[in-house]
Amino acid sequence: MDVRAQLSMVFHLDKCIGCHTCSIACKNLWTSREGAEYMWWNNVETKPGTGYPTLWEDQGKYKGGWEVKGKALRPKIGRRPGLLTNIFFNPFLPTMDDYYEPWTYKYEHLYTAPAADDQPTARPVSKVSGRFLDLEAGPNWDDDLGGSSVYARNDINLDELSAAEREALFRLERMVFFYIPRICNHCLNPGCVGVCPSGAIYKRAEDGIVLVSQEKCRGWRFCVSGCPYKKPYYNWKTGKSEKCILCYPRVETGQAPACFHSCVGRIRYMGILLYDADRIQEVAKVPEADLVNAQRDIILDPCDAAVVAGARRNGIVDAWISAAQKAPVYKFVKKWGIALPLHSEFRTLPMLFYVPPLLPVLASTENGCYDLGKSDFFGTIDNVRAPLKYMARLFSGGNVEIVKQALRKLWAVRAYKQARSAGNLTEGRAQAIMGEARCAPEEAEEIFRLTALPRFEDRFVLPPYHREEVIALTTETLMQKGQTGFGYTRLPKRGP
Amino acid sequence: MHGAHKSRIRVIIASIVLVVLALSAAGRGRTIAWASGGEDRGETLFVEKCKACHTVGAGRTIGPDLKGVGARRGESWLVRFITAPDRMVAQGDPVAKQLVQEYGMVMPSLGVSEEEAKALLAYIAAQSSGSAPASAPTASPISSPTTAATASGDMARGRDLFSGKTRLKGGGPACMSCHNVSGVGIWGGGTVGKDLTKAYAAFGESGIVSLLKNAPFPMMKEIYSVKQLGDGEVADVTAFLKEASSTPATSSQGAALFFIISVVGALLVIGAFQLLWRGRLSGVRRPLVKGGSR
Repeated sequence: MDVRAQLSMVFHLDKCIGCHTCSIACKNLWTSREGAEYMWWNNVETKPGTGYPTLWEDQGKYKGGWEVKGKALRPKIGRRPGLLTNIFFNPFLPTMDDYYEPWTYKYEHLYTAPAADDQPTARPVSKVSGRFLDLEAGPNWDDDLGGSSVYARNDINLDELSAAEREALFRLERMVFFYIPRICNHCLNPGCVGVCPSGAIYKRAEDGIVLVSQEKCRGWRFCVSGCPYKKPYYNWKTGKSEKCILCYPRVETGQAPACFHSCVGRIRYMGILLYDADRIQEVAKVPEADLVNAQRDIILDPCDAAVVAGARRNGIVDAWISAAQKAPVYKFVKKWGIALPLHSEFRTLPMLFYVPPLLPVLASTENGCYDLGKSDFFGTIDNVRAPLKYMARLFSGGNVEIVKQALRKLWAVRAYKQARSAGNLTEGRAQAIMGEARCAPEEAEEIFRLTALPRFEDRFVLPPYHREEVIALTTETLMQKGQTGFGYTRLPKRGP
Repeated sequence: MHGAHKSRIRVIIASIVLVVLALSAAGRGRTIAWASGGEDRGETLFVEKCKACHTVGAGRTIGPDLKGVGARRGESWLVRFITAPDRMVAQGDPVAKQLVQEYGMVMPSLGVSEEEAKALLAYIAAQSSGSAPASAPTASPISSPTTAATASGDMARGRDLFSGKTRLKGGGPACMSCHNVSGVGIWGGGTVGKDLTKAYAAFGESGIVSLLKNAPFPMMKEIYSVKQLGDGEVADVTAFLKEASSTPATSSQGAALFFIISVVGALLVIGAFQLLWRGRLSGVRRPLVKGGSR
C-alpha cells in the first residue's frame, strides 16, 4: 500500500445556479492576459449541450484520455512512435473556432464617429487579430439551452436514448437542463502528463495538483489532445501551455481557490483524500461499468489505523491525516457514495466529483393545467426529467445502477426533511423511501447539514502546508517576502 | 545542462572560424608565390591566366589573337576590359558587346589587378613586336596545344572520366559534379557550370584541350591548377566531348521530363500526406452547426 494525499473536490450540482461567478473569479485572477483571453480554466456548461470547446466529450474526434488495448493501458492518441510522427502537426487539436475567438468591442468609435444620420455602434473586434468579427460562437453560446437548436441536440451523452426519448427531452413541457461547472480534475492518472513530449507536466507529490512547468514546456500541445476534459490550454503569446493550478498559492496559505471561495450557491467542497497509488494502473484498466466503484476502492479510509500508519510511512504529517479525517469530500465520495466522477470512462481517475442533480419530477398537463400531485408528489426516481441513461453516461461510465443509488439517497434526504420540517409527507412514506435508499436518519441529517447549512470551514478543510517553515529554513524571510508573487522566474522568449 | 550546450556551440563556431582562416591563409600564400615566382611577371601572368584562350600571333583559338592588340584598342580600354570584362559588357560598351557576339561568350573575370593588367599588356606588346627576351621562347607558352595527344583520345574512357566512374589521376572531382552533357547519367550532371553538350562545337579541339589543361575560369582554376589533368585524360575527355557535340541535344526534353517528374512526385507526396492524416480534425463546431440538429 502506497498511501498518498490528494487535494480533491466535490461540486454539488443541485445547488449550482449557473451564475458563472466562479469563471469570472478565475478569469480575473489568472487568465486576463494577452494570449490567455480564450482560456477558461473554470467554465460552467449547460447540459444537455456540447460544452467548451465544442463536443469536448467526443473522444472519437479529440482522442483524449486512455484506452485499454489488449492488456495494456495506452493514451488514445497513440503510443510514442505515433506521437512522434505527429509532433510537428498534431491532427487532433481543437481549432480556435471550437473554443471561440475572443473579442472586445470598438468602444472608442462611439466617441470618435463623425456626425451622421444613424447612431454609431461599437462593432466587435477580435482580440487575436484585431479585425472586425462576425460573432458566431462564444464560450457559453449554448448557455441555458440557448444559442441554437443545434448544440444541445448534438450532446453525445444522448446517444443511448431512443429517438422518441430524445424528442421528449426537448418538448417545452418536459424541457430540462442543469449546469456542470468544470475545472481541471487533477486526475490520479492524468492524460496530459502521459502524452507530454517535453516532460513538462507533473503531479505535485504533496497534494496531487497537476502543474505545467513554464520553463520546460515547449508548446507541442499534446497535453491539449491528451486531456479528455480539454483543460490544458495553449497560450499563443508565450507559446506554452497553461492550465488550472487549483490556486495553489492560495491553498498553500490556507485559502480556498478563487472559484471555490466566490461560489454563490456554495456548491463546492474541498479536502484531502488518501489513496493507494499502487493500484492506479490496475484500477484504470477495469471495464467501463466498474470504473466508479474501482476508483472508490482505492480511496482509503483516513481513520483506518493501517492507512494512517501507511500515510506516516510516506511522510504525510499528522496535521494532513487529521485534515483527511475531517474532509467533506471523503463523506460525499466514499461514506455516502453520492458524489461521482465525471466521465470515468476516460480512465484518468478524475479527483473532482459531482453530486448529480436531482431534477424535478415529470409533470403532466391536463386541460392546460399542470398536475403535480396526481399520484405522488415525489413519484419515483425513474421518473426524473433527465433520463437516468443520460446521467449514467455523464457520471458513472454508463452504469445506471450507480447513478440511481446516488439519486435515491438524495431523494431520501428530501423525504426525510419533508416529513420532519414541512409535513408534506407522512413519516411512514419517508421511512419507506429512506429504507429503499439504505439511508439511516442520522445519515440523512448529516447529508442535509453538509448540503444546506455548511459553514466555510465545513466546506473547505484545507491542510496546513507549513510553507513558511520550509522557507524560513532555507531563505531569509524578508528576502522571500520581496520575491514572491505571480510571474516568471525566467521570461518566455516570446514575452509574457 | 544549458551552460554545457552553449559551450559546445562556442567550440563549433571557433573551429569553423579556424578552418576558414587556415584556408584563406593558404590561398593568400599561393597568390604571393605566383606573383613573385617568375622573372618576367607579365609572362607568368599570361601563362597563368590568358594562355588557355589566347595566343599572340598564333591565330584565333577560343578568344582572339592578341598580336598587336595594344594598337587596336588603346591601353585604358584594355586595362578596364581585362580587370572587369563582365562589368563592361553590362555597362553596354559597344566593342565589348561585339566581342561577345563574335566569340559566343563573355571573357571570365579573372581577378586581374590594374597593375597586373599593365604588366600583361607590356608582355603582349613585347611579344607582338618580336623583340622578346631570348629567355622566353615565343612558341612554347603561346602556341596552340598539339593535337597529336588528342587524336588518340578514347571516347569511352572520356565518358567514364567525365561521369566519375573512373577517377581522375590528379585527384580532382569529376566533370559531372558541375557540368552536364546530354545523355550522361540518369539525372544528368551538375548545373553549377555550363552545359558542355555543345562545348566542342563552340571551342574546337584546340580550345577544349587548352581549357582543360589550363582552365581560366575562377572555380575550375582553383581546383585543377592544383589537381591537374594528365595529357591522356585531357585527350579522352576531349574525345568524349567531341562525340557528345555530334549527338542531337536532348537537354530541353530532359528539362521537361524533370519538370513532369517533380510535379507528379509532389502530387504523390501531398496525396500520401492527405491519406496518412485523413482522420485529422479541421474544426468541430462549424461542421456541427452546418449539420444541424439530430
